Amino acid sequence: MWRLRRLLMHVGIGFRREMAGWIESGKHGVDCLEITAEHFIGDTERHIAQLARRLPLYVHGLGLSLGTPGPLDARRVEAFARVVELANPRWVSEHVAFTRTAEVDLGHLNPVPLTRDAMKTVADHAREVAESCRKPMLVENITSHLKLTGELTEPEFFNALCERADCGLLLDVTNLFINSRNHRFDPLVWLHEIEPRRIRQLHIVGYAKQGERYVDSHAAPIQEELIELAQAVVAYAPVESIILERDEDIPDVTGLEVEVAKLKRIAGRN
Amino acid sequence: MEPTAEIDFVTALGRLLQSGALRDAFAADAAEVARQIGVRESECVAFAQLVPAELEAQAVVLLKKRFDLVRRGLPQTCRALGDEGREAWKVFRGYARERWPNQKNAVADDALGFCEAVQLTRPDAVCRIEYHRVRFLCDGSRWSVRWLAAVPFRNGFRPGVQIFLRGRSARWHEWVVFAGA
Repeated sequence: MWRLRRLLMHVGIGFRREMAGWIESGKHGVDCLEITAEHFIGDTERHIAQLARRLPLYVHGLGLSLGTPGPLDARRVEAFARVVELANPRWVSEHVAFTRTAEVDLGHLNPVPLTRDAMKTVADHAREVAESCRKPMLVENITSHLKLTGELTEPEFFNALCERADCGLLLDVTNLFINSRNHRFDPLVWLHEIEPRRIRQLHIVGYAKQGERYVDSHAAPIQEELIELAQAVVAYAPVESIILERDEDIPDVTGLEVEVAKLKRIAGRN
Repeated sequence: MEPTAEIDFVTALGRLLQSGALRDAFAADAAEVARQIGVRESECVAFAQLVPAELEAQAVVLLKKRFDLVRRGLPQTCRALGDEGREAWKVFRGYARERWPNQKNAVADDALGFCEAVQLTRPDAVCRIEYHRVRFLCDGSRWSVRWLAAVPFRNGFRPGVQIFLRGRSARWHEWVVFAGA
């Protein structure tokens, strides 16, 4: 059954403006695009319709700050839902993180403590976003230099979160790999503690190293050890889509095709 | 300092990530910082277990994110500081470790703060065109005219004026007029 699903797995790319010509050419070889909602809020919404006519879209969020205690920012949720309405994706996704506190916008993803209270906050917010968008929701693991603890392990946290929010997991393979190296744990042990049915989508991009630390630069070609880890995930869980998440140093068409071929290898389609 | 109203873990962590001085104090005595900023009692243990080196590394990630946005608006100034932008990052890190930008206009406010920090030690590196632009973006005025003593033009420099005009929406326009051009 899962072998059949693998053949149907969407292979796609996180859309960035630099890729527009390549996508328009129709010779890209991808099955879908993932758009970042915050890049399309406001006067560029009309571009969503153009993209949606070419390929199926997924909508990904950066700034809903699901991990901030208290209510979600209603204006951001409304703007996000507007993008979703235009894109009509199979599902929407956002990070298990906070970017804002009650006092300040930190402008980047930060980890939440692995406590039941934090899990409930994220889950209730995820459910609220799903209801606002009328789409299924996936939550994504982030990478962080901070290793926060709590009464739950990270896999227990994700399992409980997905159960409470009735959502899926967008597993960022690169983030898992980087965290496993920086915080010294076995990514396969972590993976096998996650309920496989929850893992529906993957993100992947090459990592970088700064001194001894691994970092999520979103700027490098996918390395072989990431492909192996992604293959392990695909063998373990009913993954339905895999997305290349390249934000910086975006390669030329040939380079993009090489990266897409790696995704197809992960999906067992070459 | 006496404790104020209780704050949750996320708010407390946010304060640590914003302030280098608070992180230094935390590294010296985590429990005292928890008391001073009023971390909720049930979350004090988790707060005190934060690792100072990891906190600093995460704070640097946030600083780099801010720097990436600022340098896009100040390419000439960053280049003039030398060492292929590395010097600009050093200056930015020093300036930004203790200063968080105004939330309403964060990138322009950060760019202005950075320009003013560069002005203190390397005034020659500040590109006046970029500096006037971020000042205009921060001050909210409808229009502004700034004198430019030496604007790069072909292989030399010319005096000129920089004119800014803000429309009714957030849109604004800019012209640089060269004397004798």
